[in-house]
Amino acid sequence: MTSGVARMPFFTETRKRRLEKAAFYILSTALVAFWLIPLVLAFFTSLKSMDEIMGKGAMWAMPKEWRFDNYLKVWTSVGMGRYVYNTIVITVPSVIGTLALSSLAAFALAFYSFKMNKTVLIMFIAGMLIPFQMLMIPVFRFTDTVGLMNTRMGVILFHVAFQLGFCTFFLRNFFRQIPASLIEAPRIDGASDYRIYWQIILPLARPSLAALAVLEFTWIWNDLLWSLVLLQSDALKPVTLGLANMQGEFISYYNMTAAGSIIAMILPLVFFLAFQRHFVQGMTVGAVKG
Amino acid sequence: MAKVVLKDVTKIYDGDVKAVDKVNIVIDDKEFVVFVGPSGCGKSTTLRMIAGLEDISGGDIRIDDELVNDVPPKDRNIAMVFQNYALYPHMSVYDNMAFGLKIRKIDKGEIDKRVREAARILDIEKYLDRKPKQLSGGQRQRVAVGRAIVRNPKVFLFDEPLSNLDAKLRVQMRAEIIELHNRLQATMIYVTHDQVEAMTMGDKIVVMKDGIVQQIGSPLYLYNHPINKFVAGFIGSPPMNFVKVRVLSEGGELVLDEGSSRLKPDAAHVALLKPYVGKDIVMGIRPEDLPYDEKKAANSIKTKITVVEPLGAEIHLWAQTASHQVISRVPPHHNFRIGDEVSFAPLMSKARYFDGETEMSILPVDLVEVKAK
Repeated sequence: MTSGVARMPFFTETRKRRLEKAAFYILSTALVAFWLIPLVLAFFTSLKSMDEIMGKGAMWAMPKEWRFDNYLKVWTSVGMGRYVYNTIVITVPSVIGTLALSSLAAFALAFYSFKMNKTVLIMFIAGMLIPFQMLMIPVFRFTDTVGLMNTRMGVILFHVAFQLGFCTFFLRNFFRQIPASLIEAPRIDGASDYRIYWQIILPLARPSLAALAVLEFTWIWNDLLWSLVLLQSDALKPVTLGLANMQGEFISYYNMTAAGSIIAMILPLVFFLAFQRHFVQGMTVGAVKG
Repeated sequence: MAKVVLKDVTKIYDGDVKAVDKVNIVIDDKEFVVFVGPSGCGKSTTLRMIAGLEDISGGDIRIDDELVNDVPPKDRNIAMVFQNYALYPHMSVYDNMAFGLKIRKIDKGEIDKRVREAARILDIEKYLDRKPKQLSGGQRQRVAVGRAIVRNPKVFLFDEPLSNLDAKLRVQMRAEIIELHNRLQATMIYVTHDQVEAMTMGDKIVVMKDGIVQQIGSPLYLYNHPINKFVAGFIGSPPMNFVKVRVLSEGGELVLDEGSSRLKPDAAHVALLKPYVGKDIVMGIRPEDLPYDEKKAANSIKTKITVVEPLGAEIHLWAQTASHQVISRVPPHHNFRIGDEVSFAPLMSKARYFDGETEMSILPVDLVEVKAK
């Protein structure tokens, strides 16, 4: 386009691109705002008294006073602290166990040729497709038989088992992108398979492990079902069950539930923000050509 | 120190695909051997079997008289340089080179000494603290070579190490690897698909095709005594000219009928060609043995020029006879134009002949060059 300025059309390339960009931002912002509405409402509710909540049109109103006693109350009298503690004790070992086992399985499936390789992979994927409703009763009975009913260990083991399929599949696909020569070079250098896994593959897989850790942490943290099936004792219940218990038959303290929900949300949020910086792509740049 | 012997080595994939078929190669100590061939010829697979990265379906591999068929790579005392460098991206150049030594629990001072010595030889001392991604392709390849050197292995294996570099760098690295071979006096096995690399680097060349060794010998032996049409066409650039001729006997004399021209074979070849009277065979003639014939003498072929490639030091002429295309190397002072009608007089003493059906050399040639001792 070498013609003069006077002839320049209104929609030049840059102007068009700028408009597109603006539209994109406006739309994205609207979408984010829309998604945040429930969160903001929950936050408002958590600051109100029950009287204020029951008033007409109160759901959308800002709280009259910014009072945080609901949080204090839910933490001390309802036992939110213990619920949060229980969730941590279940979630952290579950995530670590899932990542450890699935990365080992994925390592084997991605880099070793053995007879049942494909079959094992297919079994992992097939396992992901079974709806959990179907498994609830078998799991319940199995847990009872082996004596894991009403123990944290039982919940942890089932979380690990049920997340393994997805994580192995995810990591295996990531590992497949690592060039085979990065396994062969250390093998010739004299590294054992375990050392190759630990010193070469895991450092290279850090971004995908971080992504998985965040996902798994959130999923397991928010799990209600397995805890509901496997735990009866109130002392062991995680935060999701605790919140569910707060819904009364005749009256529900919405402000307390909202405060509890916000508390329950904080840790996954912190975890996400902490690991976000590890979503570094291009870890393998420089390993091989290009 | 290290002699590598391959006896009937075979690789079969998925039950029936023969990637490597009964390969027999003897690699002497301190020799620089190049495996060359088109892609899929089994040269890399053979190298990987020597490295221990592929199982051997049949045959024996011996390194220093020790049968290594079932010895894991780390215990074969070999080092390998990969086509894509295979540097550990999360480690510094120093750690990349020291990795294999640390595993072998070598004394820290000794590791440091060896890494710095290798870095000095390869001129990468400045980059020891950098990560691979901060290096250029050539520097990365040097690090990969350095990682092999520090190990001080019996045998160096190179798997197309220069094919990712640009042409100029490739020529430079080629010279550096030859220099390295002279300095280290180690056995080196080098895989490439580039016949120029093979010719310039190898003490001995192994030409492979379809998993089968075609011929083994020094670069010049293969150039001058190719065992079949494939080797003749693969080694040399521009490639050997192949002209289909019919062997005729006229008045007790043998004549080769090209279609539009007739040629008289060299006296030394007559006896060998006699059994082929009445049959079609392939005559091979190198471009430098097909000189421009100003006088249009007898025993020449008449052509029309189709392409002129002035290279400065010489000219490559592509010319068309009635039935064949040929390339000739002529001195640079000639002035040719496309469409010129020109005669070339092949040096019949340098001509090679191949059976029309089997494509094997009619002139006697060794499959494995026998060196006079």
